[in-house]
Amino acid sequence: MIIEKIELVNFMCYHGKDNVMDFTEGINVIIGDNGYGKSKLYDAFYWVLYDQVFVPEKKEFQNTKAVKSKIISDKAKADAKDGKVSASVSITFHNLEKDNVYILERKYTANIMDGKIMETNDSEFTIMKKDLSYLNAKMVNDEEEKRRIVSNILPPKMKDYLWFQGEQVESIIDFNKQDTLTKAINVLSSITRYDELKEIAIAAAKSGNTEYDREVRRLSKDIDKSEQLGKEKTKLEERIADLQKDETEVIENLSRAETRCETLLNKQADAQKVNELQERKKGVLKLLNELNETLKEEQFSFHGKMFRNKWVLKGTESLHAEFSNRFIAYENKKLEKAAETKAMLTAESEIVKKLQTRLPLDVPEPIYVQRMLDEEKCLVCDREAKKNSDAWQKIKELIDRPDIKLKSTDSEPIVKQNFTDDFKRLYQNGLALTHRIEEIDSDIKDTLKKISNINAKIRDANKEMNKVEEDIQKLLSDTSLTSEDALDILNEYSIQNKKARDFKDEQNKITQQIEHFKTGLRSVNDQLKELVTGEIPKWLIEKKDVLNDFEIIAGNTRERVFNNLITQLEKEANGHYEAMTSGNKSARGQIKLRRLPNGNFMPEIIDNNGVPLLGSNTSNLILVKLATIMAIISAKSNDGVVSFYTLITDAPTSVFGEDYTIGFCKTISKVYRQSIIMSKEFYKNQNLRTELLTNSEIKIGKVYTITPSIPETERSNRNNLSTKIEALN
Amino acid sequence: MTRENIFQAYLEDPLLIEKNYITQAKIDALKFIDQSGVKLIEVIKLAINGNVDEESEGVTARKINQYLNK
Repeated sequence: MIIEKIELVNFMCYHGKDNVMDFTEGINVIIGDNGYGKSKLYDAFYWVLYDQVFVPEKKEFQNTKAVKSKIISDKAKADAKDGKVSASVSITFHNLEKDNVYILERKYTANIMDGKIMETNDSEFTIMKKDLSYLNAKMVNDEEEKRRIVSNILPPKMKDYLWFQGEQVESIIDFNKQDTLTKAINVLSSITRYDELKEIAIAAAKSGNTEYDREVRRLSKDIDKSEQLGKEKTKLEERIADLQKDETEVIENLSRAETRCETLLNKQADAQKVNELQERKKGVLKLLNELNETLKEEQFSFHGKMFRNKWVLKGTESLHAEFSNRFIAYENKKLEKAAETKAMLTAESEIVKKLQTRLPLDVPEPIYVQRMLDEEKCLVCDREAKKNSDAWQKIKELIDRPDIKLKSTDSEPIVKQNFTDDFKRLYQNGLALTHRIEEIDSDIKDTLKKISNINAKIRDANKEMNKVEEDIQKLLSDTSLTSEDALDILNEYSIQNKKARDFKDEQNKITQQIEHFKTGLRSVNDQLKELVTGEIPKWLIEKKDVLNDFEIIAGNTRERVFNNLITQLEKEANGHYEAMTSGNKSARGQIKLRRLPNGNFMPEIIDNNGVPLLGSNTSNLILVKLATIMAIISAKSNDGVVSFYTLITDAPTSVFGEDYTIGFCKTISKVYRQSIIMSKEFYKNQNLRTELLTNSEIKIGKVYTITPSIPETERSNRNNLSTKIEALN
Repeated sequence: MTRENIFQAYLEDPLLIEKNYITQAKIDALKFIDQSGVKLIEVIKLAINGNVDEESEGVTARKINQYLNK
């Protein structure tokens, strides 16, 4: 049975009537990013068969009765005038062997009046059937037949293993529940038949034994003793039955304790890893703090070096030369001026000397000279000397002469302010700094290099820190281990280990008791036989023996078939696991289905020496589950290909890395005759998409892209939301 | 899983030969539809038929009982 077509009309984000996808055998892929409508497409399939859609807010599937017009496209509702508006999905199934065609359609209609939606009660479900694909379709009206058709298309017990969303993989096989795998095997294999046959055999053997015992008592020569022995026998049988119940319970407890020990051992290894990473984190954190401290100091020091290392003088090399020049000029000027002064003094002294040769100083006495000036007449030669005339001036010189002498003797300083000493000190200081200034560039360069090195080290340390953090987070999320768990693990392990030992002792004790009572029972049976007079009918003895042997054979056959199934599953699961992980180097080990004391099986990953691998990553564990599910499904068919049912899964690859995607597709296309996969990996990674379409190992069906008219982030108003479907092949 | 598949799984049990119900050669040739002439094997077939035909356990047990009372 394959799905040939799905048609969506106004279903959620699929507005209008043009939403049709054809499918073929092989792997059919619908590509779209998050929020593009992949899950709604999955919902469409689910809705038709089960009248339910997934409600993300509630995280559960809900019936149409609860969801109502939310199923109808918002655009369809917005566009609708008063009247009816409906959403429908129809799926065409084709049974290629019998050439039957079934068209299943579900429809929900609401009424709109004055812009208000008037809900109707429920969806309508119709099935059209074509006995041969080329004949006209006839509507199936019988509700029982409709149910049978749906159940035939996808048996309810297989639904979880064939139609699932990525995040459900975890729960389909829950490693924390011991009997999940056994349940899955029971559902997907015929082992339940052997269980039922075993029950028939047990009941038949019991009935045969009762009939035989009755006959033995009837033929007894001592009825009373036989009665007494019969009672004793019943007591012993009841005691054995009780002990067997106890034994089953103890075995269950032992299984639980051993599984818990196993889990704790795994966690212990994980906890150890977490601790190691925490230690590494501490080390890196310490290094990072030291580096940051050094950097801080270096930055403070950088500013200090402006003055301490004279960096502030950077670029002032020419200033000292310029200052030197100016200082030299200043000194030269001073020297020149001193020379000039000296020359003037010499000249003045010459004049004074000359004046001294004519008349001595204060001769004539100044009062007479003043009188001559006043009277404008030389009293020595009695000649007239008019004011300001040469003669008058000559006389005046006699009075001014002492002033001339004073002026010459109190000669002016060479410069107004003498900075020579300061300038000289500055010059000497400058001279001392000249060499330092020349080294500033390389000093700055060295310092910057040092800072840059520290920054590089900080970057490296930060990178390592992020890596360690990432590893810790990954490990924590992989193992769901909290710090508290890590601390309790050792204690709990020793408790569980002790429990396991105690249960084992108890089991041995019960087994011995059972054996003891069975010996007693045999003895009672022998005594009863001895009391028999006459002959027990041969047919009855034969009947009893045959039925008891049937019971033994039924039990053994069930175990043998189940063990063979486990071996086959292991082989198939490993084949699928190997194929799916071929693109990833980190994938390792092989799947081993380990038998627990209570007869359940748990998948685990072992190395080549059969030693369980601890701390496998989440992707690997999920792939183990997927491989096991596929194995259970594929083991049902002789050729390993599931030919009757279509696998429909939404984002199955989202739970493991892109590296596994192609391997997954190859395996899927080999195991299932038809699969329909919704995936975002091929949207994001063009290379993956190309490989999907071209890889010869993938039996490719139809590939579509889906694109919403409004990006998810801009959907405050969904009244224009529609989805475009494009076929890529 | 057909009746024949289940039947063949039962025929693999060593007890059949150990307790001389049948020989290996006969087992190799035996099909579900064949009359084996071995009571245990016929009982197994009755149980398989009952189970595959979805009879109740009681009905199958009665059939087995009747067969062995012959």
